[in-house]
Amino acid sequence: MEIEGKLSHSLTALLVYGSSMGTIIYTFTEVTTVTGKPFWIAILIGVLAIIPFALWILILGSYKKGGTLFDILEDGIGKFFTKILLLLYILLNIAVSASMLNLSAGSIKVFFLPRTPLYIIIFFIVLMSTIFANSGFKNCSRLIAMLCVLATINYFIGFSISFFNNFEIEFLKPIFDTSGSQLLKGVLFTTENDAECLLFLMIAVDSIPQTKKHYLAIFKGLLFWSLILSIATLIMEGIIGQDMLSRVAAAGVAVASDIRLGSFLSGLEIFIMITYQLIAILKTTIFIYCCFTASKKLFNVPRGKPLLILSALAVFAASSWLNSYNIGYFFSIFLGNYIIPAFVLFILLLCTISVFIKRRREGKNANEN
Amino acid sequence: MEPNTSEPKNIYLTVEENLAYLKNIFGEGINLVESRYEILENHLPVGLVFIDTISDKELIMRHVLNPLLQSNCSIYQNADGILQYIKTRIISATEIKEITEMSQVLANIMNGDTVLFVEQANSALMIGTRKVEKRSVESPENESTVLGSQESFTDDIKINCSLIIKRLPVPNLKFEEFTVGTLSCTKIKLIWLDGIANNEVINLARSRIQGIDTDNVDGIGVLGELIEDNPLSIFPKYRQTERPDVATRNLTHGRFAIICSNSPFAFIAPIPFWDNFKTMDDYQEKPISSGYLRIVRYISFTFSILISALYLSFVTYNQAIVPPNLALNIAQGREGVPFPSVLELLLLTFFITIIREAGLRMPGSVGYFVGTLAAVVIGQAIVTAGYVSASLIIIVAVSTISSFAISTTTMLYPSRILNYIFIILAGCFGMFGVVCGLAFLLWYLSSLESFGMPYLYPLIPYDKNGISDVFFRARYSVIKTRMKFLSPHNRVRTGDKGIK
Repeated sequence: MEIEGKLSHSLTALLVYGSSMGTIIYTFTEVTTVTGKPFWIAILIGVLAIIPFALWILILGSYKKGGTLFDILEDGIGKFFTKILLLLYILLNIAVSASMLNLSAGSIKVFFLPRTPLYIIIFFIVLMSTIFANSGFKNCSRLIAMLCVLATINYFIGFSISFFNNFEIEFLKPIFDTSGSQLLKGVLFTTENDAECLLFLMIAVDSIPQTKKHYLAIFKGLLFWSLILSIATLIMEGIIGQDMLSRVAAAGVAVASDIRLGSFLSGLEIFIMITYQLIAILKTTIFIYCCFTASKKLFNVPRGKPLLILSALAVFAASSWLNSYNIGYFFSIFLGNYIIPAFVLFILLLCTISVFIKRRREGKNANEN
Repeated sequence: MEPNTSEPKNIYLTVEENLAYLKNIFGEGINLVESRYEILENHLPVGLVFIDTISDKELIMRHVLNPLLQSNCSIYQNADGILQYIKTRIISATEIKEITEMSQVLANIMNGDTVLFVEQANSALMIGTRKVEKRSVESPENESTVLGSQESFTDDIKINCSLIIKRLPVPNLKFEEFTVGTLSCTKIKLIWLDGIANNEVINLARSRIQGIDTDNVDGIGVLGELIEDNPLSIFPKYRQTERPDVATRNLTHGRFAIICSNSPFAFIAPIPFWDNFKTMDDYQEKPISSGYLRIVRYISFTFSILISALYLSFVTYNQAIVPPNLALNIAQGREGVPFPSVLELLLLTFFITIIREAGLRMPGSVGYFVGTLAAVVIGQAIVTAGYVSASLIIIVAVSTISSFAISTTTMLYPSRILNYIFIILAGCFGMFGVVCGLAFLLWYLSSLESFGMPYLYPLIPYDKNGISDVFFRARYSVIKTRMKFLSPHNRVRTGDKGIK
């Protein structure tokens, strides 16, 4: 696999943070239904629960420096089975990106371009993401870092305008009004649906140096995301209440549309929508890059611009086929609840076994020699 | 004697052959002066050649001719020995060199130097006698400051070197001279602080300069385009400055500078995107004041590229954000305007650019008149006639004035070009187009490099030592280290290590 340069620890943290922003920003409203008022606590804990898995990936990556998890699998279980898993990985990335694109494009259509067909909006996002993915991992990672920071700043600036006027502490009370099982369900939902970052880490691990600072960077990135997401959802709950929040789509944008400052300031949903659009662009770039990299490995081609175009076309085709915000929403919940965690766990376990198999083989060879 | 037309490699042994050759090469119109003398007791024939208009005749008379003619000693050596004697004991000039090749003779004469041929000698003497008309050191026209130095570079490379040496009087200030341009033979000097600048960057600069293959390099702009990364990019990846203090400040940071004869600007690289928003006043004012001014410049740049596009998308696609009273005002102003908003905006922006160019190219009072006529009279008439709305004039004016508030003129044109692009995106896709354009711009900036340095450094990749001078200027007592890329081996600025 081409390595264009190792990541610094600050860039690693930002990449992990950026790759964690995914369909959870739309589907977290399910957590409000399941957990109730303290759903933001479930979100906080749920994202933090991803950290061990992320560190697990990094530890596995240390056994094959400069390689991805699929390189480790190849050493352990052979090329044929690895290629099957690579194919599944590519299909999963396409599926997740299709749901993400439908969610984003649906929101953009409602708030920005009501008369534009969904597939046109999807086309432009996919086109841009393909151009970004084509520029190499170095430029991609820099762009992702900038976009995720910009998206975060934009989001909180938008809400800070309304914070003192529209935030009602009454909406949060009582804070711990839930049972343990409901909280656990919320945590599980968040962990499963936010595990998209692990899909990216499986590929990006070859560019992350094995130093303590980088392990800490992964921890920091996910910690930061857990704080940001939980604070953002807390603010939303404070503005419109948990009950209302569980019934809206694109919650942040819908909440922002309620914000008014006299007769002068309104319609802030347009600025909050910028955040969602930036997240859509960065996530689509990540998904296309992952598909491209995996397909290069699958077909054993070191450079493969046609594969990049094919990956982009596959993402576009899948997204256009879904062609609905609602379908995208429930599809992403389905993927998050059943497919992504199972796949990730399966790959991690298989990699761990591959590492043991390889070490035993090396031990045997050493004894024979 | 028959004149020889093909250029010989070495000079002729006889004075007459040399003078005849030179007369044939230079012709009559250039005021070439060739004089023949017999000197010393031996009545040794010598020939003196110089160009009248660019040589200091006073110096030639006093320090070359008079000593030669008044010297009466007898020397019993061969011609080369006599040449040595003349060089060391008779002529009293500060710059004397022996030259053997005819190409050197031609180059030195064209430079304003005098060449002395001695009969039967294998070499000639080059005596530095150039006298070139030059400007005195004046205050900077294009980079004026309130509290900074009022000196600027001139067209003379030696004066420019002296202005830099005056500010950095340390032995590790290095100069390396090159000659570029096969016709212009332009002298350029690569300047850096040895032990501070990144050697890889200096080597890269050197190799690019040595790779220049063109006939005429008449200024820093041409030189910059020949050696910079990605010359087609609209963003400047080097800085042109007419201020010696800016040049020396950047040298202490680990950058290199290039000065060029006949150009009153210095070339400074590698430069990230953020350096285009810095002025010398930032380093003379208090940190909080300079931080405030820098933020104003960043906001001005943002306004200059985005405000027209945002107005267009709010008016055309996303009216919800516009307060009702303002929306009514805008709608009333647009009543009767025959053009769609996007066309109105593009035309008006283009018209403002025409006014600016006309005002800039016209001399003095004519320029003021053109600006006043176009901006006030035509602008007023255009609104009264109903071709454009008044609110649009305000938006375009704010956008244009904001572009002038950016500190360097090199960012003025990129901001105008980006303004057009964002207007088209907003006209086609509203806010969605503006955000896509923004993402594209960020990607493009992150992919640029300046002599190996990422264009968004030290933000991306992050370097905490450089962040203290990006959006705000930290106190000098806090800025203790140089940026990793610029000075990887000597990062400490304080104490004795600062000049190692």
